[in-house]
Amino acid sequence: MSTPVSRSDATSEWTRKRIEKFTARFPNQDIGSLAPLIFFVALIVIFGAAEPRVFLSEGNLTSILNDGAVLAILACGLTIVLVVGEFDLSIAAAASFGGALAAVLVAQHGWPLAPTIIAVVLSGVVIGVSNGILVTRFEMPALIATIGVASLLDGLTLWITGNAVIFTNFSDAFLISGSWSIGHIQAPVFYLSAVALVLAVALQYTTTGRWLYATGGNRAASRMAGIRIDRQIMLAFVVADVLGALAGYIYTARQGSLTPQFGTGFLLPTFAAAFLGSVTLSRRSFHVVGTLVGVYLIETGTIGLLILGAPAYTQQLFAGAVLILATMGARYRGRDGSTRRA
Amino acid sequence: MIDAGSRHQDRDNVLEFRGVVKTFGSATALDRVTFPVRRGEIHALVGENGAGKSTLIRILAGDYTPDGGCVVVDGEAVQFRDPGEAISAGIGCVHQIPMFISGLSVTENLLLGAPYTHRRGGLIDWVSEHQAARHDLAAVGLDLNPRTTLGSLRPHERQLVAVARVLRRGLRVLVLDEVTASLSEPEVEILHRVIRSLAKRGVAILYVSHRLEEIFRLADTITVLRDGKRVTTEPAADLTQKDVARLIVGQEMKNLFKRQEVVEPKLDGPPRLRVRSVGDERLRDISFDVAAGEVVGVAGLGGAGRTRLLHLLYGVRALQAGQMFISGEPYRPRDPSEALARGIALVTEDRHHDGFVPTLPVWQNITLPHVRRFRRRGILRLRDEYDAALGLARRLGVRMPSIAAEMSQLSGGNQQKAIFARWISDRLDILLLDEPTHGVDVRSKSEIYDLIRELAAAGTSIIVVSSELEEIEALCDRVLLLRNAELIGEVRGVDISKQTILHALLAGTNPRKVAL
Repeated sequence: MSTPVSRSDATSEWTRKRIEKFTARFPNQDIGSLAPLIFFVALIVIFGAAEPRVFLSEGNLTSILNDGAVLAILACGLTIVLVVGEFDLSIAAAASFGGALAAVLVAQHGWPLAPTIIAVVLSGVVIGVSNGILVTRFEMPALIATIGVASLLDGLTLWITGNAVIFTNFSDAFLISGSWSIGHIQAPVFYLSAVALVLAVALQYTTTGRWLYATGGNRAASRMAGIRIDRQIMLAFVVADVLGALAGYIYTARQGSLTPQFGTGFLLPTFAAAFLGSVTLSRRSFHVVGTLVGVYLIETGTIGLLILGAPAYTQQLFAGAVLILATMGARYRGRDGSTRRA
Repeated sequence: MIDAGSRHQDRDNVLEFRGVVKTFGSATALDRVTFPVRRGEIHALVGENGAGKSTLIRILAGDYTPDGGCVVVDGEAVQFRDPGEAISAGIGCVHQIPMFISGLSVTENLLLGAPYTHRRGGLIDWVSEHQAARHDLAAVGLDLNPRTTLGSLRPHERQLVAVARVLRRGLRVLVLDEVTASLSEPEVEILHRVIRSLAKRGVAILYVSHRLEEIFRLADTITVLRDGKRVTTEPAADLTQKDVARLIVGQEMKNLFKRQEVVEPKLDGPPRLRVRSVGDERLRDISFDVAAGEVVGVAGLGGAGRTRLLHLLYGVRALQAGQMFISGEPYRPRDPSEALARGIALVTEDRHHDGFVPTLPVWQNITLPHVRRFRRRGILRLRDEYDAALGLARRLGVRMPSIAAEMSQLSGGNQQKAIFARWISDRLDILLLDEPTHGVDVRSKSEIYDLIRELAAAGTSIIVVSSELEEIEALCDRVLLLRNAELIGEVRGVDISKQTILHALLAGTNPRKVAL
């Protein structure tokens, strides 16, 4: 410690501000950021009280964890695109395509595991680069560009699978890669943990993460500050669609069968989870931890309703309601922020 | 001095603030503010950001309810519940950026929120509406086709349309809030003419502006607010600009005015920046040099291409003709990141649009261009970054609730200082400034001027674009004159004055041909 005084001054200032920033999250008017967590706990209490033996069983809780993992990987990928201020409606189609590609290569062409995974990752890169080029170079609105790419991908998926369910001839290595487990916890959860950890750290503690947030916050200002915004947008799409394709692979390997276009059903909950996450806990932005809360809130609600014997359509009602309420929550917090200055 | 607190009812006082108090939580925004505004008077309201001007105006407009005191209009205490009531009482407000729908016609914009009265068989009679609009526009000296879309108007024409919009309802008090902030000098003069003629017809004008020089050209009476209190209300004739600057800040401000001494730049070796025959779609054949440590102004009327020139230098736009050199080395940036890599930075004109990132806290905005420096083995050292930003903010005296605050919680001047803080840590070769004190209060302006001089003294070459010619007078060693996308000449040293520059720009004559 060569300069103990100034250093400790700065340190205490830093620590104090961190504490202030932390407590500033929980004044009474900012209850909005805790609402998703409170809702999450309320769901567990309600389902737990209604069906304690079934819902609170170890088997059920771990199956919520296992079943939500693929959705969570998708939602983490989407989060990166949302951070940079874009949209990716093709991420679910990327999952369908990644799964189909893996199934066709393994079951019909007898490819070993490693080249299959490389092919799936490469397909994700190509999808991401396509989205990125359409959005940056050709300045298309992401909404339109990614819908277009999604439709192309769905067509390709039907083409390579011949629109048939694939459920035989999978190699053992392929099936094991999606279904190994430690205790009750299955492979997808471990893959998710790795993905979430890397992304969370990258967003918060790397220059790239800062550049992504800055680009999403104000593109013009970021460019003027010397950030290559096109590269950030391209990177975000590539990360998202690679994770999309990998999620499709993991899903297929875990199921041991492939239904073409299975990804479509993931689209709405993926967006719902990420938006719910953006109003959870911290600042008004998308972040990985929030997305995970969003995913598991939706998953818990869905499975809870199933256990209570609610008809299947209530699951869609639930996901839709969560998406709308989450977005309303975001608006409420936004107004808070703007009136703070008097 | 006018005794603002006097009991006797002055018949001429169309508007009076009487002991107006407004608090936000524990903060007092207005503390017993009392002063009258007379019929036909141009009354300037000045003060730093946060002095309470906006709060006072918002009380008048019915946006806020006062916690004490009252607003008296024509001898009657009033409390407007919303802006509509204020307008019906004859109080109109025009703001810095009027609310318009740029895709609609001028007529439609004039009638925003008002009923269409000209009807034929229940349908809108557009011919009569446009005619009425033409009449309204004539009242503010505008002769233009009301069918044109608002988006195609020039900035001062928009402000005049905004005036016409409030004028059409039997106006008694007109509040003008920073309406000239984005106008160039001749446009300001046009707007002033209209304001004077309205005052002659008996309308009381409450004029809010940061530009002291403009206030002295226009106002009959000046009221200064400081920290929510009225400091003075006096006839403009009894005050000087220096008095007002001192009253606004509460201490002496020396550096806001024209410098007396002139420093000739050292001209050894190749110039820091050499620009030769540079052009794009609009700019033609621009050539000039800038020496190390020199402060060069770029003066021009709105639309002359000043911002475009800075954007070419900074790589925001692609160069289509000509060459540039930094210290003799060829320089052709394709992106701002390449300009930064060569030691050039830009402070943009509109900080909300392309200055700062609202979703990042103040400290991350300060370090934004330099995040890489805080990377150790791929991971950001947030604490080092935070400390560095804090140090820079303190050095520049950025006043803020906390460095972890959002940028929107800072006043305009402090936002601008936070953006300047990005560039003081490096030895920049060239700093480009586009309207560096746009919407900035007097104290921050003075601090920014000091900073610019400090940077120049340390050897940074500075190019300043400013619509405020006083700013150019106060800062520059040399001024380039840009007219219709062409450099028509330059003024240097003791010759730099508002009159010379304006004359040259309006007449298009070269005070001295650029010698190359």
